[in-house]
This record gives sequence, structure tokens and C-alpha cells, in this order.
Amino acid sequence: MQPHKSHPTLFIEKDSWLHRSHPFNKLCYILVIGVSVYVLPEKWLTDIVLLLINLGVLLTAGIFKPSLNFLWKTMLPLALFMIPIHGTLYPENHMVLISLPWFNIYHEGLLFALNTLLQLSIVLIASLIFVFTTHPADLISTISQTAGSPTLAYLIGSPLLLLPAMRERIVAIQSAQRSRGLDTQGNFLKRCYGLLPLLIPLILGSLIEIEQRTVALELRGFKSANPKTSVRKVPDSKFQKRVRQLMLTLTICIIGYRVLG
Amino acid sequence: MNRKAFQVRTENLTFRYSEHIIAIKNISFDLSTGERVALVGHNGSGKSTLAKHFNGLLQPSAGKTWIQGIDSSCQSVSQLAKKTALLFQNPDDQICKQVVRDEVAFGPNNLGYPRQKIDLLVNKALSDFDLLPLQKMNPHDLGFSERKRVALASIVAMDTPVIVFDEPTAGFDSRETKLFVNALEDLKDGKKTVLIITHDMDFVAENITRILCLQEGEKVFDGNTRDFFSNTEMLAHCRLLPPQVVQLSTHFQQKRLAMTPEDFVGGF
Amino acid sequence: MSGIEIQKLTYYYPGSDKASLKNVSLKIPKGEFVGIIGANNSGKSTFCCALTGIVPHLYHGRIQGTIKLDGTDITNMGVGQVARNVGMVMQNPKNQLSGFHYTVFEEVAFGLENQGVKRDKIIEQVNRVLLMTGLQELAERSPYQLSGGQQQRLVFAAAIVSEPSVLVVDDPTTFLDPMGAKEVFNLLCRLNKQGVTIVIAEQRLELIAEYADRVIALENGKVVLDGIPCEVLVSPVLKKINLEWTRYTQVAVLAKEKGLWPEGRPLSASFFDTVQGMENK
Repeated sequence: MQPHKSHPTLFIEKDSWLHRSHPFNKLCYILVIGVSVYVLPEKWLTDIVLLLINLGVLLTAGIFKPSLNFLWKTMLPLALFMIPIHGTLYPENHMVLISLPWFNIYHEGLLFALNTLLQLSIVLIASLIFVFTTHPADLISTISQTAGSPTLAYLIGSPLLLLPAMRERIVAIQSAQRSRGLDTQGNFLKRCYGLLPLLIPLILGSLIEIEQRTVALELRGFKSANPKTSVRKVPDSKFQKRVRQLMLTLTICIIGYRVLG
Repeated sequence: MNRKAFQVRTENLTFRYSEHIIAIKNISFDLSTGERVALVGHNGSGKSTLAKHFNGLLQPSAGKTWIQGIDSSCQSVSQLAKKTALLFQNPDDQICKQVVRDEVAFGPNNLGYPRQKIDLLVNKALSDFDLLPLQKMNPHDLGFSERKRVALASIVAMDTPVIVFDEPTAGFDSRETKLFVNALEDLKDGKKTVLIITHDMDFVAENITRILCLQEGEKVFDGNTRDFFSNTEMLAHCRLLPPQVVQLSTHFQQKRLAMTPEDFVGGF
Repeated sequence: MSGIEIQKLTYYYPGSDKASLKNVSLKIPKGEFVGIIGANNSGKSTFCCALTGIVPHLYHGRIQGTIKLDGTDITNMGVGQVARNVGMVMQNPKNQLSGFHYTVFEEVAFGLENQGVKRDKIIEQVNRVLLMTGLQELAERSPYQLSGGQQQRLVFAAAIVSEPSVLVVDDPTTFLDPMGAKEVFNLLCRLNKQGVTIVIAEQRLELIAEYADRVIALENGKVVLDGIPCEVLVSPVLKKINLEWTRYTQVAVLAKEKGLWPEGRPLSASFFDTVQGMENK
């Protein structure tokens, strides 16, 4: 028996208020969160409030665990890089926090690094909220009907498709190359040497797949100029539209406050 | 029992992808030096999953696998790559060099063979798969079946005692299939142990004397090719069709089931 | 003329001096089941792509000659336009899935959505096609949860939902088990009985022998043989173009040498013809 093949997207299938929300609402959410993080004053307070809002959304949508899992895997390497760099080299460093034999870690640099990481985490969580709860079919359908351009819709939606498909391919390629004696463990130099035999089949194989998929889409009239119909109905309502408008208005107000204030 | 007598041995091998998904269950069999065995079964029966245990890509959830007498769980994939070469179905998952010759040399280079030995193995593999005229070309400029031949050559050039081929002739025309059959004869002369995962029952009837059959992750047959094809009920259960000659032989109720056209006409 | 008419079709891939199709001229009447055979790189896939407009419109390159479908010149028509009448199924089903549909049902409906067909009609047609391809129980499943054989059937369903008059199929059985391969041909046979012209490039000659009305053999982009299966598939020319006779034909040849084949009876390529030949001696 074969393993259940997962859908080749990052979408997590559940039935929550967030899954039922219109894709554009979730995109507006990313916008308002992103603008708020970088524009509003009282950095730490704003950031913590936004973080708590994000976490609340994750919990009520039932995607808390996978989001946190993705978050720490992405942010930890960044943190390991940013904290020492800013901790030692930030221009406004003044107060020594930790004194080490070869260098010092400064309070200002450390705070800056931590704040930057927090802001990145907040925007990343807002993006994950969108990616984990929006099926590419809904996004592409909505964009296609709103913008009238299926190509634009596919261009925007296709990164959501490519990443998970690439993940599966990477595993297959790694298996094939390890079977031919390629050492993917070992020291740093060995791992570097082992990168090209993984990357080349990945890139070229992906290009072949894209080419074949393009042909298949053309054969099914994807680029036809006809007005398209849709079997799938992406639910929308007056309330959702109002929420969208509210978020967009809020974004404009925040930007306006920054520009005028 | 002397495990060293066998090149490959599995005992109650079980592998689970998750708590609820058991890919293969309680599989036990041996492969001796120089043996050539076909592994057959419907799509999804666990053939590729089983094969990945022979080079350490997968480790058993239960049971054991020994390669040349050593427990595979005690060896890394790079150690096992010196003992078992595995051809994957999609050649595009492995082709990473700009020149066919370099691609074929990739495996032997990784195994650390001396230069002279690599050249000998590569030249032989290129010759066996009719790739000498193409050896300076970019593999990515070749058609699918040519790329498949390059992949085959790169596996054979590794000169490992055990070789597993996963669907080696899928997409081949009859000339290319013949090249593979001839290469198999060379491997037999070199006393290589070969396991071939295939759906080509005509090929199996004419070239293989022992069959292992999986169905829904379990081993349902391990024995003589002729006995396997005599069991039409099992063939149907496993979604396999009898080879063309076997169909004729069964229809005419020949006492000894024919495996080749010569067998059939001779027994008529 | 009803059906496909190809006149002096020659095609060069971009940057190539060597023609992948050379002066191909033939007629395929409506409702015929045609097998295209040949060694790898003989031009089978290029021929299939030419019938659907993939060459030259997607792969570019140079094309000469004409292809007419029911009297209309489709040589210079875009792929999407040709696709309304000519469906195509290629080798690897996974790369033919759009990748952005939730369910099998939506995947099949996609082609009709692009044509602007009304929702009710889409639902009716999709249900009919799912039943025909044996996928009705899997309608709500994700396309990526299907087995390889089921995915291939899904791709067929997606290709035939617009009711094309011609279905071009390029090597569909490579990744299928033997029963899966037979199921594909049974489906093609059912479609053919409904009047769909089938053009299939295939390596398994025994299946072509059993199902096709006509066989065209290609070598280096040229037509070298064109006729009924029991003539083409037993021709000694096959060996010259790197193809093997079916085992049934090999049996008939050996039987004839040993005097076990009826005098004057043509050699066979299929199971039934071989059995009849051996029984009639």
C-alpha cells in the first residue's frame, strides 16, 4: 500500500472561520499587519499586541502547531545569524551586555536584532495564515474572475504550488543521488560539493515539469479569451466585503498617520 | 544459519510510513550471489519501498535486512552504495552532469574507485548501452529513452555486487530492451545479484527464472517463473497479465507451459 | 473530407536542421482507431504534437504543409482553439494535472470552465465522463491522492469532457501496470465506438494489434508502413526500423517454418488470429 500522497500545496485542510474567509480578506490582513508592524509607534508594545492577535487567529483557525513549526524552522537560522552580527556590529552599540574573550555583545544591538526578528515573525505568521488556509484553487479562481486574467492568477497562485512540489522532488533527487554514493552528510565542504548534484536535477526537472504543465493547460483552453465559468464557488458576503474595506481603510489611515504625523 | 551465504536477506521486513499506513509487511526472502530475480506486483504493492531497504534509504520499522551478511541498519547509505546500486524510475531525478561520460562516471567517482578502474567501467557501460556516440553530448539534450540509458549505464558502472533496477525497460523500444537484456547477461557473467522491478511480463518470461510477487505490501509468491505464470488466479489478483506466449500455451493446454515462442512451437 | 487530412507535413524543432517529420501525407477517416508505431525518436510524439498544434505553436520551430480537420485548416490555429476538437493525453499523468484543483470533479471540469460552458451543463458532462472512466467514486478526492492508473484515467476524463471528435494519445501506458494498460485501451475502444477518432502512439504492439483498425509506422519522421494491423505488424520492415514483431507473430513465423501454419494464411499479430491459425492447421 502506498502512502497517502498529500496535496502538492501548503494548504492545510480544515473547516474553520478562517478557511471560510475570502482569500482577499486574508491578503488584506497581511497588508494591515505588515504596515502596522513597520509604521506604528511604540515598537515593542505594538509588536507584542500584533503577535498576540496573530497567535489568537492561529489558535482559533486550528493551525497553531504547523505554523509554529514552520516559524521556528525559518526564524532560528536567521536568529543565529542576526543576533551575533547586530549584537557586535550595530552602529549604535554602547552598553556591553556580555563580554567574551574576542568580542562583546551589546545591549542596543541585541535589542535591535530581537525586535527585527519579532517583526519578521509577525509578518511571516500573517503570511502563513494566508498560505495554510487558502487553497490555490480559490485564490486562482478569485483573481481570475476579479482581474479577468487567468495568466496573472496562475502567476500569483503558482508559487504556492511550486514549493511543496519542489519539496517532494528534492526528496526523490536526494534518494537517487545518495544511491549513487553521494555523501550528503559529513563536513561543510562535503555538503557544499553535494549541492550541485541536487540542485541541477531539481532545477532542470522543474523546468521540464513546468513546460509539460504549460502544454497541458493550453490543451485545456487555459488561455482562451472567453469569459470563464466556475464550478467552484468561493464564498463571499456583505460582511466579508465590509471587513475587507475596513482593513484597507485602516491601512490607509496608518500610512496617513505616519506621513502626516 | 549462515547469513553470509546470501547477498541480500530480509526477515519479517515491515515498513510503515505512518501508524496507519503499512507499506510492506513481514517480507522474508534471500538473494544469492549471481541470482537474477524479478520483483512484480501491481502499482502501489510496495516494490519500490522494499528496494529502498537494500541501500539503506529506508530502515525497517520491524524485521531486518542484511546486505552481504551485515545488518543494513548498522551501515550508512554511502556505505551501502558500495554494495547495492539502485536505478530509479525517473532518470531526470539523477542526471546532474553536462556531459554523458561524466554522468556515467558520477557513481564510480563517488565510490572512490581508482582512475583506471573508472575509465574501464565507464567505457564498458557506455558500450553496453550504445552510448559511445553520445558520450560527449549533454544528457539534457537527449530524449527520454536516451536519458534512461544514461541512467542505467551510470548504475551499472558502479560495479556493485547487488543491483536493483526499478522499471528499467519502461519507455524503451525493442532495440533498447535488447541492449538491457545483453547487459544483464554480462552482469550474470560478473556474478552480480540482480533484482528487477518490472511490469513487462514478456521480458520476465524470457529472461528470469525466479519471481517475487507482492500484493498490498505482502509477499504472495516466491518461486519459479513457470509456476508463477501457471497460477492465473493470482496473476489476476495482482493485476498482471500473462505473457503473450503463456496465453497461447495456456489456451492450447500445453503440458509444460511455454515461456518463449520457440518453447511454444516446439511443444505444439 | 470528414476526418484528418495531412498534406506534406514537415517540421523542424527550433535550431535543428534535421526534420522531425518529413513530408508526411495521409488521411485518417472519422472514427478510425489508428496506432502510430516506431522506435524512440522516430517522430511519433512530434506527430501527435502536430495534430494538436503543440508544434509549432508552443514549441515553435518551422512547419510546412497542412493539417485539416473536417475540411478546416488547423495548421495555423492556436492550441486552445484546436483543443476544442482535438483532445490530447500525454505520457506522464502527473504533469498534466493543473495542480490547483481541490477535487477530481473540478479537475475534469476545468476545460469546460475555460470554454465558458454554463455551470449546469458542466456538472452534467463531468458526471457522465466520470462514470465512463470509472472515477465516479473518486469525484471528491484530491487528484494527488489517486494512484498512477487512476491519475491516467483522470487525465483521459479531462481530455474527453469537451467531447472532442479526435483524441490523440502519446504513449499512455509507460508507467502503468499491465491491467492498467489494458484498461486504457478498453476505454479508448469505448470512445471509438462512440465515434471518436483515436490516434495513439504506443510501444506495446500486441495492444495495437488487438485494438487498432490501422497502423502507421514511422522512421526518422517518415511514414514507412501504413495499413491494417495484420499487414503492418507482421512486415519484415519492422525489424529494419528497430521494432520487434509481437510474440504472437514470432510464434506464427516459427510455426510456418515448421509447417504448422495453414498454407496461404497470412501471419498473425494478435492472440486471436494466432490461435485461429494454429487451430486451423
